[in-house]
Amino acid sequence: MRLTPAVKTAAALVATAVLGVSAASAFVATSPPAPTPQSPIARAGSERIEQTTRDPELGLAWAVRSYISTSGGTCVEAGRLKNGRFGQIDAGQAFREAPVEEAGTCADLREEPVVLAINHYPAIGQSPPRTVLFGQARADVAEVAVTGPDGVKRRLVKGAGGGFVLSFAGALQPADLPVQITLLAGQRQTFDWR
Amino acid sequence: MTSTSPAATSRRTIPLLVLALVCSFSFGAIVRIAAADYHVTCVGHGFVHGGSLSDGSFFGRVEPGCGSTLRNCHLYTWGSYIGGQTVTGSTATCNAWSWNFGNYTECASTTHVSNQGVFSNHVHKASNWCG
Repeated sequence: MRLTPAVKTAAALVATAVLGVSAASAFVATSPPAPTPQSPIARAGSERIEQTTRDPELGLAWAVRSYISTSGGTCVEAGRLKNGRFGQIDAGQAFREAPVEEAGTCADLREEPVVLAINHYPAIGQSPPRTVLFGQARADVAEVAVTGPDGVKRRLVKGAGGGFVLSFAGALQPADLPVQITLLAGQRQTFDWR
Repeated sequence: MTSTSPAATSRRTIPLLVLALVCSFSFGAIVRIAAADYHVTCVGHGFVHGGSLSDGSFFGRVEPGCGSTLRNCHLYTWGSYIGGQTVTGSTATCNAWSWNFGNYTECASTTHVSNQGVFSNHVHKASNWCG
């Protein structure tokens, strides 16, 4: 059977297209980038429970755990505290101790005075939703305060290393929780999550 | 009636093939990057597996940089929201860990990430997607 020039051209085009897509798959890298200055991996033995806050409706207190990353970053993570152990509550209400993983929210406190995060916990099973504000302030931060959706300004109690945590009932938007910090030198900085 | 010589056909076909190669490579590259579980759009972000592909430990992550001061990383399993994180500041990494929110099927999970001023909200799937 003889192929017409049009059929040959079409076959060549199809083959070329397949070749092009295959080459792209082979040569375009999709692997994770090299570790960044804020590696989230913990330096062994650097972790500690910084601060806790009660949540009577849910039972176990919330806690913020901090550690220093292998790249020198300051990392914080929010969790629950049971008999001095840091962990999480699953959908079945079981406590599970959390090892020091690469789970912290890490920042460089040489460049900014505070690492600030909000965890959003939706309603699961019998647990109502929670919005948990947590972080760690540098030693030159005199005060960390948050204004809730009720308009009340709350000063956050800092742990020995500057860690803080506060839980709010409901699923709040970050913009509902503007945070103001005051440095020992008197300057103020507002984080409005916008 | 006119006929086309083999030389004339070749002159038309070769540029066409080159064009097809370029277009198909571009298409493949776009699809490859868009489907990746973790990639770089100015900053690294996406879905990160924990110890293995099936231990239920995974992360939604957005690294800092490129002038951004607000980052979001939210987690979904079987299309349902399981929890997430928002961070602010110029150097903080958004890092939502699945274990913070319970015990979920890793291969059926996605992260929805955004980085204000850098990229808008979009989805990254587990690399062993089964959802």
